[in-house]
Amino acid sequence: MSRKMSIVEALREASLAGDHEAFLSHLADDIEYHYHVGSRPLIGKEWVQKFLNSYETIAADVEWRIDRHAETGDCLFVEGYEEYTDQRTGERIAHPYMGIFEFDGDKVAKWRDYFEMDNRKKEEASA
Amino acid sequence: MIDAESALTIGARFMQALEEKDLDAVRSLYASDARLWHNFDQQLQSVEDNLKTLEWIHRKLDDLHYDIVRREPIPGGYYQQHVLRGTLASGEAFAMPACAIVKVEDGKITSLDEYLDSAHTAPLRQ
Repeated sequence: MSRKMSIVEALREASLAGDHEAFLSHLADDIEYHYHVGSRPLIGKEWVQKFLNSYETIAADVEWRIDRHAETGDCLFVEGYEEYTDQRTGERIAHPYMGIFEFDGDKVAKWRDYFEMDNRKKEEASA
Repeated sequence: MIDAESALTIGARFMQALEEKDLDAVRSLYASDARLWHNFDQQLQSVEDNLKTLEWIHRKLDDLHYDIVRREPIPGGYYQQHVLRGTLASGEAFAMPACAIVKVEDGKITSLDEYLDSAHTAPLRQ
């Protein structure tokens, strides 16, 4: 596993464990995080921390999978799948996503996730 | 396996064909059994069905162009981040961010996996 992929894997594990400190340790101080491309990006760790706090109140029983990856230069591209229960509605949300991580050394400096925001789980989506 | 320069050249020709709304040129860049996929419906599209979708988009947008944020070679093809832009019949500007993984063999696009939020396409359906 490459250095970049091992860092993203550590990010994924920290997220699933709810370990914010470990999660944030892999981000640059001035991280630019587009948790959903098209929405306003989060700038800086403090803002990401607030996002993580909010995400935890919304998403339960999270599954986050990385299926494929490739890298070139300072970038790592991943294709994967995220699924969680929206605690506000009880609905299961599921979507494939693509994430692009731009690194500055061992830190993620920019992170963009592309996915369908309104993606209530459909039977065919989980097939 | 295709070399990086050739893959990027195909990527540039593909974008040029789309911006010129030249569907014959787009078709010529696709392998006949190309696999075209979008995250929002997770369905495989045939080349002909994809061309119908593109033709619909081309009718809906004037000044269609792609702002290429990044196009990088990856094993067997290339990856591209872009924003599709154009002008709607209402005169309003349209913008749809997306990214795609494109695989190329023998000078033809054999698969294209595109990720976007279909909410951004809502203005096209009005």
